[in-house]
Amino acid sequence: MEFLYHFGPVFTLSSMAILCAGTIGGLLLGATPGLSPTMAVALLIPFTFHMDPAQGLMLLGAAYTATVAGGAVSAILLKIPGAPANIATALDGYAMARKGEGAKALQLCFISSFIGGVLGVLVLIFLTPVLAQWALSFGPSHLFWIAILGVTIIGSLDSKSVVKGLLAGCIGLWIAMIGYDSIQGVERFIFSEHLEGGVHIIAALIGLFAIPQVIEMLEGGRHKRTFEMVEVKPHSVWKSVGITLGHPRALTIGGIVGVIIGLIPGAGGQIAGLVSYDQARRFSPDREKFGSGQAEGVIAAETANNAMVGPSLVPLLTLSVPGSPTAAVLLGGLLIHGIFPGPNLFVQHPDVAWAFINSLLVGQFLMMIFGLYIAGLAAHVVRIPPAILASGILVLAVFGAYSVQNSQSDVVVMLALGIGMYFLQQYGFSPAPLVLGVILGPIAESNYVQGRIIAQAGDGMFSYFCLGTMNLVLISLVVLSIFYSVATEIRMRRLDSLGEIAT
Amino acid sequence: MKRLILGMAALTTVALAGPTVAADYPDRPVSVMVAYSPGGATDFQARIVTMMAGDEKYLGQPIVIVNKPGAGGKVGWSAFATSGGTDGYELAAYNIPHFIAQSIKFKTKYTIDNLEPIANWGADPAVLVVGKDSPFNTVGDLVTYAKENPGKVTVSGAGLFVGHHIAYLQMEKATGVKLAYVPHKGGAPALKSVIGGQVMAGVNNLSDAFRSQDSLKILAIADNERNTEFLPDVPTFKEAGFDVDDSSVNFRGLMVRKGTPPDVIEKLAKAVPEMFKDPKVAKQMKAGGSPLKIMNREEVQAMWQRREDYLKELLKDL
Amino acid sequence: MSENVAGRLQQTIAAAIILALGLWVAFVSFSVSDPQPYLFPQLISVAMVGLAALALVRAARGANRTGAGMSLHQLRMIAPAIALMLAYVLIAIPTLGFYTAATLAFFTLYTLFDPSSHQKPSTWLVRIAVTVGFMALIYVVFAMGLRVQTPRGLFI
Repeated sequence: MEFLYHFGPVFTLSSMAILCAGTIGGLLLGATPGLSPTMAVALLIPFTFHMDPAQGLMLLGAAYTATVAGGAVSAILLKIPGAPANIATALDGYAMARKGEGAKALQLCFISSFIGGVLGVLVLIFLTPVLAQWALSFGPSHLFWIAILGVTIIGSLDSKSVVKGLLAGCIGLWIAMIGYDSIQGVERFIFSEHLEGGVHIIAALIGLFAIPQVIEMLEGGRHKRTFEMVEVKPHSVWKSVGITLGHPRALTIGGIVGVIIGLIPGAGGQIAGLVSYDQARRFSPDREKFGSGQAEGVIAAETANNAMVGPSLVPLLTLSVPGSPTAAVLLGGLLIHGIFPGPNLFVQHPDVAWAFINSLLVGQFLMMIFGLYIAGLAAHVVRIPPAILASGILVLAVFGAYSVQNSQSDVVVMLALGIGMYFLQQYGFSPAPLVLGVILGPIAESNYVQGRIIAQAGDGMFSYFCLGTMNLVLISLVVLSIFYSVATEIRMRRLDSLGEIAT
Repeated sequence: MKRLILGMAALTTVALAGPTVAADYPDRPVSVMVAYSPGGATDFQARIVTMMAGDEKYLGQPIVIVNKPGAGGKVGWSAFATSGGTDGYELAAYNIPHFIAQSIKFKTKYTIDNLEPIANWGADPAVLVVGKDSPFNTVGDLVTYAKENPGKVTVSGAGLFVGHHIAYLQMEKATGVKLAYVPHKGGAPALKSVIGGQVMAGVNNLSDAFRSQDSLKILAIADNERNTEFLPDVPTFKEAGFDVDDSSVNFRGLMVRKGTPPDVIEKLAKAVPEMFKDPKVAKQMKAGGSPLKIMNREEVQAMWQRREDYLKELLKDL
Repeated sequence: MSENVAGRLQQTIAAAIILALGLWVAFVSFSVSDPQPYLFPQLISVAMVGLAALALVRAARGANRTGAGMSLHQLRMIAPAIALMLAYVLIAIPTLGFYTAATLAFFTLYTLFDPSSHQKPSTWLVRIAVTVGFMALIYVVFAMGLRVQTPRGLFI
């Protein structure tokens, strides 16, 4: 209960001001198409130089929490996820917005983000000593199987045709292989100078989602409006609380998936939302309605991607090992203030460590309050004429892609992928499985290569990759997932052919 | 047509801005490209040593760190050497021996000939680490075990042909045993796999290992002398009886692309070492277990050349 | 009925293009001297070729019914937008500078697709004001607030 004792410094006027600024700034940065949480935190680090360490970390903590949730705003209203974590939110969230339920979707999203976020931070506060060692025990073979588990959901993700879903996933996996391979440094598929640095996941995300939306908005030309602008009907917050709490299954799945994926260093939380969404769909009696604006999908995805925030800091704070790209950036922020995470952190700098953790907790409340307020303003965003909205998104996409690594090549790659995706979309392909491929490719490959070297030095490939409790559990999950997908496909095919006869 | 427009634009810019470049340089923030992921040793040291740049005594403009990680630094340096600006507003952090070894081993777009050093800030020796529960307590233990089990000892490090890998190669050569090198995507994940027990040993940065001492055992330093400031009790490889010298010591500093105006280089070469010497920088670096080693432009130029010659020799028969 | 045939032809062409991409990836992956770093590309290219072939067969048989396809009219409508995006990113940014290029791109795209009159001066004023306001906001947030470095050309 030590954390309660350290709440004092969080509730001073200056700390609250910093937390509010971090939260509002984070929500806005997160909601801007093209800005990811990792980048927002990285961009904020220089601001903490001149603050005292505790307050600097409060700013980063609040901003981290808020950007993760803020990414859902553009995912829901514009179908442009702010971060890979929000892809799953876009699937049903945007469908809800199309039905006029944008405000409701945003409210559900912030409420479930809050529930997931608080759960995650509580795990961080109470279970860190127990889980830290467990989190580190994940080796290359386990991460390889986790990536393969992710691959098994590609086919069923946001595609009416499994063949096209898998094909999009393959294109994504191939895109991830472009550039220098990360282990041996061999050049692969560099057919343009812009591809030398490979395809950055954020540049790909922006291009694949934002650019097709921009082009679609302009499809009707000057006078004819073919792009259906979403209408946002007001919705009662209390009703949304009721709806959210009425989905205990989605909340439970989201919480568990988010916490577990957050803990595993290297899985990166980017897939927490997608895995949770997929699981919620499998366990739901209304699974056919997923993708057409199901509240349950939004709740599962958003609970998971905020539940991941707290646990992703467990390996960082206790063992100085960053578990995700954002945690790595936070580590830089800590080090600059001369604070070294590790077993002694809570002994040497309890004030700073607890101020940071408490700011994550308080940040969840602030995120929900300001988030719900933003949900109320959402109607204004979508009332912007399409010509302005499209131009603005284009410019923001360019700035967002550029500022990830200060690279003009990323902008070119982003645009090329975006234009390509627009045409692919016209033929029934969707960006979600493609991006999932881009995320999973490097995780699967680098862990396979590392695992192979370790296995060859040790007991051989089969026993390294396929034996041991953790491997066996993961492999059975992979098998179950494939089995389930095939079974669903067979059932759906029957429905599909009936549908074709009817039309 | 595009070329022509570009060329004209470039000409006009030069004509307009040419003579006044150095006088008011820098009049906007300067970026430093770090070829490693955020949170790694190079990244956070670069952030510390450049944090005083905004002071009027030094550059008078802040320095922004831009990370371009991948393939042991190749992605970042390659982009820097081909498309980095030559106006003095785009700097990069170098890691010796990494980029020199890579430029010898691969057909990279960067060599010591198309880059210009500004100043050196740090020297971070490689150390041999094992997990807290490892049965090895000295380098001798590890070598004895490896002799009995050739190729069975897994050793993690950050990528191929980086300082860690050079130290590993020297170690294999000096001990005559065969080990298994497991390259990682940067120092932090490589250290994680040692702490997590995925590999039996690791070569990592002194500064990172120093911070994680509670979950690690540090067996030896790949340097000519012990590090009296941070790890006075850890022997060098030579003391342990293996001929591994300081060739893998990771020198870090700032550089620009060749073609940067000489007056800009001169201005940087004067101001940057002073900035590194700032007491605030020294204090932060010490707290982080990061040894400072400030060298001016001439010293770095000589050091680059020496390393190039040595590494050409070492990597020839590997 | 004729629309269906066009759909089938288009779907077939789309699948064929992806199949060609897959074949190229496979060709590159299998023809390298050191196959070790190409293990994953090889596996992926095999899957890609297989799936694209399946999609091609389905499309040729008319069984592929997802995606509306493109019409010539649609292509004509979006062509200026795509041309403008390419000009913005490939030409304007390197020559004019990041903010100048963005301002021009925003203004041009907005003007091209703005439903209000191009004759009345007042609508031009609105468009200029919106562009300047938006770009000022971007400049404040990115350049002044977050200190993002952007490449310069003739201007900023």
